[in-house]
Amino acid sequence: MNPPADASSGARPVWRARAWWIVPALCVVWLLSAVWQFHDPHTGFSNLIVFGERNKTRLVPAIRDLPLFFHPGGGYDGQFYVQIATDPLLRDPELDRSLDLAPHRVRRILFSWTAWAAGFGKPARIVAVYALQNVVCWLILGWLSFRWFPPNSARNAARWVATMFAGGLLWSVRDALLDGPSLLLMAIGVLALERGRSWVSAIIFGISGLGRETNILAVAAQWQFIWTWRGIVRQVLQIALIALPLLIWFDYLYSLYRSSLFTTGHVMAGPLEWFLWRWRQVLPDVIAEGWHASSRFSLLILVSMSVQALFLFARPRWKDPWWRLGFAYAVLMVFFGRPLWEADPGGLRVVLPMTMAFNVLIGQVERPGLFWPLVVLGNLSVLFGLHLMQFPGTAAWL
Amino acid sequence: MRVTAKAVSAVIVLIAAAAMCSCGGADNRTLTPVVDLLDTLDQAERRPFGAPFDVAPVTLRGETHRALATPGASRVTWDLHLPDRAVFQVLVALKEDAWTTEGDGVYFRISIAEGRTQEDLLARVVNPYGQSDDRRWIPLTVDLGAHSGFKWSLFYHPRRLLWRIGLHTNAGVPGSVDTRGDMPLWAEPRILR
Repeated sequence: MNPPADASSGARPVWRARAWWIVPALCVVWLLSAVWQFHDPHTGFSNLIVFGERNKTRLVPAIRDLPLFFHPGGGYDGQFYVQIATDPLLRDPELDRSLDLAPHRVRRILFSWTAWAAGFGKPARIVAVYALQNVVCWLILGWLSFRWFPPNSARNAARWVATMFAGGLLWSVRDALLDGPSLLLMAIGVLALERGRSWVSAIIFGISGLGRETNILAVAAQWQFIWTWRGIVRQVLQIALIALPLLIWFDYLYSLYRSSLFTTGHVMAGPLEWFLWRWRQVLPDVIAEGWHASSRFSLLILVSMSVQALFLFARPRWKDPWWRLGFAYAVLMVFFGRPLWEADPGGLRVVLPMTMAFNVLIGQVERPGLFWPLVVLGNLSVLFGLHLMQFPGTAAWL
Repeated sequence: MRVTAKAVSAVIVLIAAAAMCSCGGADNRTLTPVVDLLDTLDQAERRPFGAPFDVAPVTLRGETHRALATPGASRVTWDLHLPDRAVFQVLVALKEDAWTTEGDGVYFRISIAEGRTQEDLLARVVNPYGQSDDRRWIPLTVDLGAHSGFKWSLFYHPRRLLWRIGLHTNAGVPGSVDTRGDMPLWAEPRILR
């Protein structure tokens, strides 16, 4: 274990490289301390689920009498998914009364199932598990990300921090949403692909499709451009395998909801229509008000997403599964409709795989003069994430 | 190779035949009545509770049909299993007395429900006072193909489901309180195949 005497001259760079591990270690502590702020001895971590006062009387009976933290107003999406978790096969039609748009919510069943299973079907445990499963996924993703960002240099440490503190990912942790756990499954799938386990990746991507419909875009990563007959047949079968779980689940949902299942909420629109609309709204506000503008975080998010998408469009790497995945989400972003761009754009969460792909691929940029500006501009949404999570020490300047 | 091609062709033909069998609506078919809903009116749920729901032959412009007269705002629902490739037919009208009575007509609506879903199949305002073309029996036909027969599904089996067919009437204009001349008739509501 001890280094040989003649290696003492090389010990310094090794020590310096290992010193970068302190960055993720501190980040984990910082994240956990931020999460702990949302704990209350009476209501546990239910603050993270963002139950709304307005929906208090509509909660499913299973959790109605639990000690929960209620936010003023209508709450956020996590409150619906946790209620679905109390009835994971949606047997009771009364459940629909507790959801804002039942046919839309029930399509995304996976992380309600995981909460139900890990909570052993007990409502109080389901709520606790659902609130924290994003945190668990964050920790696992952080560990997994060392494969792409081994903390042995400033460049890698910066990319790890940028990925793990991405605005969309922290938003998912803060509000117990589906995007963080979905990203974890995507990353595991890409890892399997990189190791040549394409059937495993197809299974994982297929499962992730149950988390949210857009996860099905993982087919882009799965398609490896192998043009032999055997390769084509194998890839087609793997893509069918990716689609299979979602098709079966939709078939089940169709038996319950019939045509109303395909309610969309107009989340998609013509290319760049609402993206440009949001830019036109945000820029004058920020120019007039500066850092105090109400839409300052929207600007940071728009810059981040634009830089990420432009980078992926400008540097095609068809052989790289991360690029294919990121590219698919960048194309999706172009077609986002108004609901995904208004306020602080929720589209930021949807394109999390693009954010991670951007941070993985930017490692190929050698010139520091290009690398560092890209890392910073492409990850400005981190500031929004820090603001959302109310990280200790950030309130004074964010 | 030739055997494989033949097998593939056979599979394609079989799939196409199966698809043709499972699709197709009421077009180009001779329809046979399966259920006359007026025969089972006593088993139907009628609202308002206690209001008159009378069945009698009614003649309009020389055309006579057995019809159900309901209150202006009403709902009649039948629970039933649907035959394969089912079609619903009914004739609607307002009583002759209503044709010369000023008013905004009646809104006729046909719905189907099961479990947590309810779907409006067809709706029409009949206003013989304002529209002379409405002074007659108006035939309405609804293809229930999506709610009956075999479906390529693991979970959706319409044959096993108990469907709730609803006939609703309301004021001709949403929110209207004008009930003058609201004398709706549903004639010969039937399920055919």
